[in-house]
Amino acid sequence: MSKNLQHISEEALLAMYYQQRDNIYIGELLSRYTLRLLGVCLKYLKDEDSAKDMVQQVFEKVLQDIGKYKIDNFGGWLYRIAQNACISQIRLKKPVAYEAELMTQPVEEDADRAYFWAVDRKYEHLQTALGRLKPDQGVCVEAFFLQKKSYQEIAHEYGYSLAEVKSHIQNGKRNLRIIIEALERGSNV
Amino acid sequence: MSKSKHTTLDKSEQDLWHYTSGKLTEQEAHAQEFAHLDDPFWNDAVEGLAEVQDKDRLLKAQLELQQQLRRKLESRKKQRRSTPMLTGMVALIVVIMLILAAYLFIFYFR
Repeated sequence: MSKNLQHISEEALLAMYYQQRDNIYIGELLSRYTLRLLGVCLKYLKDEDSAKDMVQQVFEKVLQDIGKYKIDNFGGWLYRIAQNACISQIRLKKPVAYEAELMTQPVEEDADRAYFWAVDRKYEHLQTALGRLKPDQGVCVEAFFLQKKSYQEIAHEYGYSLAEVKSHIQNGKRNLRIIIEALERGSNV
Repeated sequence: MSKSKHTTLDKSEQDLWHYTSGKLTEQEAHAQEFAHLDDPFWNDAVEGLAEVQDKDRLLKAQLELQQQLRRKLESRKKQRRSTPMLTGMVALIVVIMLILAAYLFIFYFR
């Protein structure tokens, strides 16, 4: 896209688009997200050519629809469009078999935010909760959040696959929150 | 982090590319993972990009898609520019036909 737009923030580009209704700003935004879009489509469609076609369809859909809504979070909106488009395509091809798999897709957890980790006032509860996690989750959560190890390092060191590491961290984080909330409720009574 | 020679990638896409290509140190990789812990877009993209072994092919595909996007935008712009002209021409033809029809009507029924 145009060179002079490259240093403009996402929010500013969106604002400029809604002011001038010039697709050049949306083009710049889409250009910034192309690799991510390709990755998401590859994840769902498992085929490079289908993924590339799908990215183009997403571009078209965005250019058609962006003027109809007031979008604040472009990345989130774009992700939902790509995800829905891929799922629709999969459903067309495999109407029944893939349903169960789609049901297991992780759901975005609004409440489960990283801010949780920035708060150290509940250190004692954290230590207790860490001890109550399943061993795999405890190991991965400690290694990732406390020892600041990457997924790859954890997988290598403890003999998990990358998918297992991610899963243990996500589930461990969620369970940790539940345990800490329960501990807080208990101490407030 | 090594600086990318690929000018088509902006900063966050560069980071994603370096991450999926395994070009980051463990600390840098952890920083990326931590920053995107609750970002399903990034995590799904990482999962999908990991399935392609030849990472350079990904960049080529990305470049192609960006070029196609640019062409799409240009053609939309041209289409938008040519629409008023086309409308004007159609209107002119309709007016001429109406004048002709009126003339023939008057000529035959006089």
